[in-house]
Amino acid sequence: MSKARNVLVVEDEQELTETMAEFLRMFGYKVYTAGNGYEALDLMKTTDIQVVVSDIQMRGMDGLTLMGEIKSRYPGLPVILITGVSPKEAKQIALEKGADAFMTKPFHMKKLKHVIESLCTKDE
Amino acid sequence: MNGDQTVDRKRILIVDDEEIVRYSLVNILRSHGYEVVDVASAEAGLKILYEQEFHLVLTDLVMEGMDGLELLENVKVLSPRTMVILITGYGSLKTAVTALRLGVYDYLIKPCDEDELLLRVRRALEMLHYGEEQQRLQDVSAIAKTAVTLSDQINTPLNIILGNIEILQLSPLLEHNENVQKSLKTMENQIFKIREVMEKLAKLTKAETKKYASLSDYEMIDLSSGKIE
Repeated sequence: MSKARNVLVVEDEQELTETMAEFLRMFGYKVYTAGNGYEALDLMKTTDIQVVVSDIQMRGMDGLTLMGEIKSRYPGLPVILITGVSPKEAKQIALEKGADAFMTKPFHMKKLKHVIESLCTKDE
Repeated sequence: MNGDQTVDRKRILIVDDEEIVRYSLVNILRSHGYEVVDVASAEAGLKILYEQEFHLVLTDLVMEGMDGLELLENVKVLSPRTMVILITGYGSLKTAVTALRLGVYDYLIKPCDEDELLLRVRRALEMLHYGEEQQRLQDVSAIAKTAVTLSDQINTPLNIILGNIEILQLSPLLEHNENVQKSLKTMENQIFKIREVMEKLAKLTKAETKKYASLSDYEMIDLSSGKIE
């Protein structure tokens, strides 16, 4: 990877957030974290983010609502949605609403890294 | 109502102190395939309700001794699912309305005509069936909801374990330790086995929910508009 990428991980299960962050940092990503949609939007006001990885089911603002906000405030910013429930329907809804990628838990961190890489090179 | 032969054997208890009324009701209902028992007092009705199960009770309102309302209250305690239709004269219409509040499903005004009687009886029995289906649907959808939450609650920790296995696999200290790498691989495989089980569970629950959801839709259309699309 040529330059550091800022990734925002939004997930209310803190240990999963930390796991994703630790793995991505091993590959040179700068990882920011938020526990729900509101925190994420707050952070994005002051931080330049290149990719957002967000859980769908979260207390407070959920992942789909967050994605809607991101798509209207930061058009073109890639969003990867992740979920632990009913893959088929959730995937369809997520993609219809504009998610750039969708992953079902449990997913490989390697795969997440690969998806982030492909989304980052797409806009270069 | 379609042919009389298609009526499954629903059990109806008739409580009326006038023999002629009982005779007429019994004849009409039996000729339409219902299993009918008749008694001449609320006390006798209560006694038989202790011993046997009925889908529907048709009771006169004004009787010597225990009246129809008292019987109704007892039925609601003894057998809450049993439907009750009150038979009443014009003079007691006000009481009939009170009875509706007490849990009577419907009331018939004497003298009641055969078609009207059959219509009300059929409707009460349909409602009984609808109530049972609704209860089953509620049970199944509660299970489905639990399964969805359970799925997320299990998949998230699995993801944390998987992610940490991957971190260990890449750790410079363990990267070349074959035994450790083998153990990590075994753990990784087990995670996906658990996931498979969760998927099967989700599919199973979804199929069950669908089965009952469609049944319930059918019943709702049938009851509200009288026609099935």
